[in-house]
Order: sequence, then structure tokens, then C-alpha cells
Amino acid sequence: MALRSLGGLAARTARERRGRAIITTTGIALGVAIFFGVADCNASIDRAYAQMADAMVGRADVIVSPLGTGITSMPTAVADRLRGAGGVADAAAFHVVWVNADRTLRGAAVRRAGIRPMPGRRLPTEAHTGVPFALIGTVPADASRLDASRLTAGRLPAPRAPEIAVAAELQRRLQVHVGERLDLTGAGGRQRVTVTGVLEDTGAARLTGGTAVGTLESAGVLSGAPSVVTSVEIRLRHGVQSDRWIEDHRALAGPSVDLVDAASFAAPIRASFRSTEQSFSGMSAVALFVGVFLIYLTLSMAVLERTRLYGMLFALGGTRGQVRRLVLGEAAVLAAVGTASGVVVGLGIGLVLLRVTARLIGLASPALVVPPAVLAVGIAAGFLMTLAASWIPARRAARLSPVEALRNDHEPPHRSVPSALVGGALIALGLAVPTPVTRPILSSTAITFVLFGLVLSVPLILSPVARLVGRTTRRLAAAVGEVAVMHLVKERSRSAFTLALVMIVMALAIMLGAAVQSARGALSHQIDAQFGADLRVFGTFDANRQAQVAKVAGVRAMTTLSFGSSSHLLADHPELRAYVEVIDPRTYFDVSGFAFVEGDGQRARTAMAGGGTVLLPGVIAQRLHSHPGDTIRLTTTAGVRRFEVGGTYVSFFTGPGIVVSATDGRLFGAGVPGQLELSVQPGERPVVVGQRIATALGRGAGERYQAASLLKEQALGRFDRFTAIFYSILGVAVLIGLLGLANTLAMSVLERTREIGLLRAVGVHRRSIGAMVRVESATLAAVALLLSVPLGAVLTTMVLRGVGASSGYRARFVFPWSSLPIVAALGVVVAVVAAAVPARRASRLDVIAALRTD
Amino acid sequence: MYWRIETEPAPAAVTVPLLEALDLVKDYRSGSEVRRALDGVSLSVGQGRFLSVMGPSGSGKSTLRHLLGGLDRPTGGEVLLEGRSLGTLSDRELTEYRRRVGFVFQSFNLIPVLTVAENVALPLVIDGCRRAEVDRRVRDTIADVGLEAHADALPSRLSGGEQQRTAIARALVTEPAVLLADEPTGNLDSATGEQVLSVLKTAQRERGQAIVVVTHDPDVAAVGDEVLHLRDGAVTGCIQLGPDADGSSPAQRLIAWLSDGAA
Repeated sequence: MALRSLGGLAARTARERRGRAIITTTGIALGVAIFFGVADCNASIDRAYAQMADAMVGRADVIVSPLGTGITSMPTAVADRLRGAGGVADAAAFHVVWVNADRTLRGAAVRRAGIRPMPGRRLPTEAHTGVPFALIGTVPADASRLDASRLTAGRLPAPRAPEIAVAAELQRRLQVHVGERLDLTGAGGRQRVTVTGVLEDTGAARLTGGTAVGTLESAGVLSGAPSVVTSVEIRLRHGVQSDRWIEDHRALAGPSVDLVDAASFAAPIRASFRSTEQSFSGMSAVALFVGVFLIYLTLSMAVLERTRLYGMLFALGGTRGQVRRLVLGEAAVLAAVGTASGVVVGLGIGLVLLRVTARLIGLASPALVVPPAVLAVGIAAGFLMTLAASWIPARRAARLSPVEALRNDHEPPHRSVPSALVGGALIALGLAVPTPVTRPILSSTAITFVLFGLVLSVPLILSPVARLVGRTTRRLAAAVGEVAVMHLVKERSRSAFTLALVMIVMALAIMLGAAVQSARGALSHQIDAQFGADLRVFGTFDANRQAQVAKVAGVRAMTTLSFGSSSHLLADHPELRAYVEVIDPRTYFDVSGFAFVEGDGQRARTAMAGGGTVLLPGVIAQRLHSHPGDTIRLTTTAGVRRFEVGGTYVSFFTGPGIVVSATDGRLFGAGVPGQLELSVQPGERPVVVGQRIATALGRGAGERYQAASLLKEQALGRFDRFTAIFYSILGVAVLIGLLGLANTLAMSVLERTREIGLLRAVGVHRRSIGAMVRVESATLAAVALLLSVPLGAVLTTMVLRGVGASSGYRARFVFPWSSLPIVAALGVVVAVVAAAVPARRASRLDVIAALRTD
Repeated sequence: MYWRIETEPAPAAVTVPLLEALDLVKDYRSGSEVRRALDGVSLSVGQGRFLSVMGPSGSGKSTLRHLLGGLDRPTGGEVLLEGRSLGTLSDRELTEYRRRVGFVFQSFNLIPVLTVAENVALPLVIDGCRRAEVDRRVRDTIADVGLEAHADALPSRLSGGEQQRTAIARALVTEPAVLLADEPTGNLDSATGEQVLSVLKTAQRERGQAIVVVTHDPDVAAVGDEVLHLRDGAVTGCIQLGPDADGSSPAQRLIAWLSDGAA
């Protein structure tokens, strides 16, 4: 005899109803799969960034770079001073210069080089072009001690020789082999170099599409600036703290130099992914929440169905605790199966999500890792969600009256009013929860309060709304339609929670549609406002080159941009990272602009003309509660200075860039502008004007051209691909909702078996019985749709508020009226699919067997 | 031995009541209405005694059964089992009380996923008995009801009579103070019903089991030593059964008694 404990009974009762067990474990598996898959993807990307950062900084403890534009330089004397400073174990200087390599490309390399076919033409299979890349000039022996790059073929360049080693990705783009010679052109000159080796794709090579390592001498020739470096990497002696060393040697480095702790070097890159990571996690948590609902529904059905069993156990002397443990035991068995399945499926989801996301954010082929902590969290999520969902049904089973349980009298009196009061309080609390910028997690908490509150309130509003909707849906099935609606109205507790499940899923669909529409609209608005220039050219533009460009036919107006970065820009908030964008206010607003949150272009032009005024990105302004007219302290080359805030602008697309006037540029170490923005004459094509500029500048130092339309197309395309991921997660939630509805309908048929037998006995056709089930399904779905509209609007407002708090981006709320037909169609599909099997089963019941049912 | 129903009264048994009901009252409230289901019912059952409680539908039989079995609490009066009043028991103690009562239901109430042996073992498992003890007692009890050959069968494989014998075995395995049976033959044909009643009488005779059977069927009630008749929640009569001087059977005498309007 096998039964040794009630635990054994729990396992067998779980197996008894295979269909319901499958639905429950599927709900658990889906919830765990999404949650674990997203967590795993996030962990893998985090790990990839960490590895990339480690590779970028190698064994260095401190990175020294110029305060100012992206690739400006500092005298080699800076490197020499710091190399000899106390506490330094080793140092390596680098001179990065953008160059072009003349190559004849064939096959896939043509596409990889970014060459586009002419309209109506196919992509050529061979093209002679300049391939731009970053050449890192250094003393190879120094660099090999500090850098993490590894040779996979050949050798590093010899000291002072015109030789380079290429990263693997660059080798593929250039279609070059060890021993071959390349003709390189830089801003200051040309040089023929020999490829001596191939390096592993690590660090910066992954982001820039490939780099090459050469000598300082080659970099000097190609840049036309032989006595400068662009960065220095320093390894400190054992026991020397980086942050302390940085503070002690800032003065030695000089005012135009930035010293950064290597550990935080990649922080901006990782931070850029943080909000996406949080969004993924938020959506997966919602899918988990919906999964919890499904489990609650199926386990509630199981308790209802086994009421007599529990009554019998009470009669045999079973305690309430034993009955509660029996329900929880069954849930534990289902949790084990569902969680195991979910983890396996989650690995697959994580892999797909990782591949898609990595391509979107430009991360090359990160490996899927499964940190033990993430696996533990995934497993814990499966068991915890099941425990949370099964607690109430278990408690309900334990509190059954033995007499009523033996009579199978199992519809507990549902006290709608007290539940609704608690629900109303939770909704009010959720709407009132602020979303401080530093705690965006509160936005998720607020949404959870609102969802729970609505779930508790649904039983109170179900009856009147179902009656209203039922006036229409009952006509789908003559005579029996009325019966279906009546059951829905009377069986409040079961119908209510199923309704809540479907309602939440539909509301999520509306929320996602509205949030995507609003965000896309605002993104488009920001791009139009801030990137409205016809053409952008990236490179290095001193006064001569600017003059050359200005004279090119077709150029109507031109403005310059410079960029810089600093870890201590905000003097009073060293924890906040921002970069400096230097504009010429006299010309900038003729060509481009900003998507102002506060202020406008005319006032900004006037205020910034004389210097002393800055424009703050929205994300910084929100954190500092800054408004136009306030002052802010910034670290400059002349010490900490006060600046007036002249306006704030949406920084969703561009990140935390503090905009300063060219008048103040020198205070931030701004050097030669690295970007031109141009508007072209009416009737001129930006691409054609770009070609003329390229001709005028000569085969220059790797200038890159970008038409405004291309930027918008790329940005919106990237946005759409990201939102596709969210829609995929929503699809899982829809599937869970469908399972929940199907389960409820199946239970409804089971409970009404005798009634169905009676209807058939008095002459109702089989197809009418099936129609009755479909009417119930349609009414539930219709009520859910009706209630999901205001819920979706509320959720959208909260999500946009949360997004605004974490990114400084205020999207205007736009209700997705165009999405409603799609959501309604989704509701119809869910209702029809969910009702299919229960309706068929109901219509096929044998009359006599049905009438005999207890 | 399971085919012949014993009609002679049980040998003289100890008359100390194991189960007593004293002036039991049970009211049910529905909104503002109060319905009295039992109105001052008293009875007692001693060891080795077989009491039948009969009456028409709505007479209060089921309510009485619930109260005697500790499934519900009376509004007035008290139930004593082995001298201990149910009224003073906590919920946990009431649960313990129910382990001293064996229940047999009309619809058997076997757990379909458990075998015959496992169904019989269930009360012992609930009570936390040791494995060896469980195995021994289950084996003996199954043998007592003649189901050794079906020990590993699921209920769905059994006939109605076999299922009810399994239910009786489940009730007997804990050696309860009293066995409460609710319409034990209600779902069975007459021949099978006689088998089941025979099992009950055997338990009474060989184990000295006190038995209370609730039924509406005079033929079933006549198997008992004493019949209590209920109507509208009150006792309307009581008759001791045994062979009459004229040789009529207990069932005939009971029917005559009922026909005389004595109940």
C-alpha cells in the first residue's frame, strides 16, 4: 500500500484532473519563463557590458582623457607627468585617430561597409570605397601590459614602425590578411601601413565596428598632430585607492584633463540600457502577475470541485491544517513541474531576447549566461507565485463547514461590499503614490496597487455591467442566452476573477498601445525638433575646414557642435553623470533646435549669446528640480562656476547632455568641433550636397555623413523593434488570459452538467447548449473590454509618469482609439477560442448521464 | 457468512451509554426566519447496541446525524460521547472527537484516486499512526469485510456493495466508539443491501461495535435492536425489536407498529 501521508494524496489529486493540472502548470511555466528569460537576458547583457568595460580598460585603474570633444587631444607632457607620479605602477598613452582605408570590397563586405544601392538598382557585388575606422596609436609593448586585447594571429606592430594589427571585425570589413598593405588617410596626412596581426574582438572594437592598433608615430602622421595623445591608462601600485589617487593628482594633471576611475568608465553605456532593462523587467513582472491570477483561478476551481472530499476528510477527523496543507501540497506539485518547465523555456526566451536586444543596442554576440542567483530567483518566482495564488483557496478549503462540504454546498457567500471598499482604497493609494525620480520602482508598485484594487472591486460591478452587456450578447443564442447571462451574474466570485484576468490583459494591451503611440510621437517630435538639420557631418572641423564647408554649393546654413564628458560636471551632484554639448547659439537655432520642456529657442538664443547660461536635459532637470531662472554649479577648467538655467529639453533620445554656449566652451575644455549640422538650399538634395562637401574636403579623415531622414528612420525603426519585444511579452499574457477563461468555462460546464441534462431533456438542441457557453464567454469578454478601457487609460497615465520620472521625458497622453478595434478583435478571438472546447463538451453531454450527476 | 442477516437480538451487552443525546435542539437561520430542525431529541446507544433512527424526509434525521457525528453543534441540549460533552470542545477537540466516530455515507464517498486499502487506511494516516500499525489494521479490517481480493483495486472497479463495504471498513479501521451510517443501502439493490447490513451486524456481534443507522427504509431499520422514529424534528416513538411470541420478524413488527400510527 502506497499511501503514507496526505502529501501522497495531494500528488494523486493533482494528477487526477489532467486538463486542469496542465492549464495550471502552463500558467506557472509561462509566467516563470518570461520572468526568468528576461532576467537572464538582462544579466547576460550586464555581464557583456562588464566584460566589455573590463576589456576597454584592461588592467588600468585610472583613465586620463581631455575634458572636451570626443576625440581631442592633450600634450604628451601630461602623460609623462602622470607616468612619473607617485603610486603609479604602469602607464600607457594612446592616440586615437579616425582614418579611411582605400579598399576594393567584395560580397558581404559591401553591405557591411554601409554602401546602399541606387534607387531601382541592386547592391553591387564589388565596390571601391574608403572604409572608416578608429586607429589606436600607442606603444604596443606598453599597451599589451595594460590592455586586455589578445592576438589571434600574427604579431603586434613593432615600435615606431608603420604597422597595424586589426581587430577581427575590422578584418572582415576590410577583407584584409596578415602581411597585406593598406593605404590610410587621416585628417593630417596619409601613410601606407602593413597589417601584422589580428586581434580578438573586445572592448571598444565591439561598439565601433572594429579598430586597429598602430604606433603613436603612425597616429601622429595621420592626424597631423605628432605630439599629442587622446588618453592615458594608468595602473596603480597595489593598495593605492583609485578615487583617492585621482583627487590627489587632479592638479598635477591640469585643468583641461579628466581623470576617471576605470571601474566606472563604462557606466554611461550601461546606464543607457538601464531604463530598457527596467521596462523589460516591469513587463515580465506583469506577465507573472497575470500568471498568478490564472493559478488562483484553477486552484479555486479545484477546491470547489473537491468540496465533498474535504468534507469527508473533516468527517474522518482531518484537521483544518491538514486540509490546508493538502491544497498547498497539490499546488507545490504543480509548482515543481511548472517551474522546471518554465526555466527550460525561459532559457530559450532569454536566448532569443538576448540576440534581438543585442542587435538593437549594438552589442556583438553576447553569450547567454545563467548566474546562479538569477536561476534561484526564477525558481523562487515559480514557487512563490504558486504559493501566493494558492493561499486563499487553501484557506477557503480549510474553513469549509464539514456539513456544507459533505452536501457539496460550495458557493461561499461573497461579501462584495467590504472587498470593494478595500479595492477602492488600494486604487486610491496607487493613484496617489508619487513617482520620485530616484525611485521609479514605486511606479510599478502603484500599478500593482491599482490592479489589485480593481480585482477586489470587480465582484461589485460585475452584476450591473454584465446585465447591461448581456442585453446584447444574450441575443447570440435564443432562449438559452438569457440563462448564460443569468449564471454569469449570479456566480459572482468565479466569474469576477476570470473577468478580472481578461480585463487586466486587455487593459495591458491598451496601455501598451497608448504608451507606444505616445512615446513614438514624442520621440518623433524630439527628433524633428532637435535633429531637423538636413545633413550632419561627423569629423574634426577647424576654422579652415568649416570655411571650406560653408562655401560648398547648396549649403544654406551651418552650425557647429562639440561634445565633452566629465565625471564631476555637476559640482553638487558627483553621483550624476552628464556630458557637455557646446553649440553656437548665433547659428544653432537657424539650423536645428531642441524639444523644449520649458523655454523656447528664441529665449535660449538670446540668453546663451553672452554665455553664462545653459540648457538642462529633462532627466537632469527632474532630478535637480531645476527650472528656467534657477542657477546650477558646474565644474569647469577654471573651477566651479554658476550658470543660469535658460531652458530644459526632452533628452529621451540624446541622454543627459548639458548644452552650453560656444562662448563658455573653453571653460569645459571644448576644442575643435566634431560635428557640423547643415541646412541645404531649397531644391537641393542633402545627399548630393554631402558628396560635394566630401569632394571639397578631400578624402578626409573619415568624415561620416548622415541625412536627417535616415536618422529618424533608424531611430524609429530601433524603437519599433524594441516595442515588438514588449508586444511579444504581452502575447504571453494574452495566452495566460485565454487559458484562464477556458478553465472557467470548463468548470462552469462541469458544475452545470445536471442543468444541461435538464435543458436537453426539455428539448433544447445540442448546438444551443454550445451557444449558451459561447454567450457566457462573449459576455465575459465584452464586460472585460468595457472595463479595460478606463483601466487601460489609468495604467497608461501611470506608465508615462514612471517613464517621465526615470528618463525626464514627458510624453503626451494620447488614447489609442485606433487600438480599440484591435483589442476588441482580440477579445472576440479569446472568447471564441476559450469557449471552443467547453462548448463542444457541453453540447455532447449524454442526457441521462448528465441528469444522474450529483 | 455475509449473506444471512442475523435477526436475533445481540447478546446482552454493557448498558453504559457510549453515545447520548439529551434534549437536542437545532435551529437554522435564513435571513430573519428561524427553522427548528430538531426539537428536544434524546437517545442513547451503548456498546454492542444497534440503534436505527427512521423517519420521513424532513424529519430531522440528517440533522441528528450531523450533531451525533460532531459535524455540527446543537443550538440546545448536548451530545455526550464516552461521557464527554461536545458543547465544551474546541474546534481542534471536535476534530479529535470525529476520529472516535466512524462514518458510513449513502454515496460511499470513497476517494477515487486511492485503492481500497488506501481508502481504508486514510483515517489512520490522518491520525498519524505508524506504518506497521496501519498495514496491520488495514489488512485485518479488509479481511473482516471480505475484500482481500480487491485490496489494490480502485473504487471505479468495484460494485456498489463492494464500495460500501470498503466504506464500512474505513469506518471500522479506527475502532470507533460508535459507527454512524447514513442510508447505507440507499444506493444499492436489495440483495447487495442485505450483504452490507450483514457486515454491520457482524461488526456489532464480533466487535461489540455500537452502531447508529439513519434510514427511511423500515426493512433497514428493522435490522437494529431499537428503532427511534422522528417526525418534524421530534421523537414520536421508540420500539425495541426482537422476536415476538407469535414468531413474526422484527421487520413485520416494525411495519405493524408504524401502521398502527404508534409513530
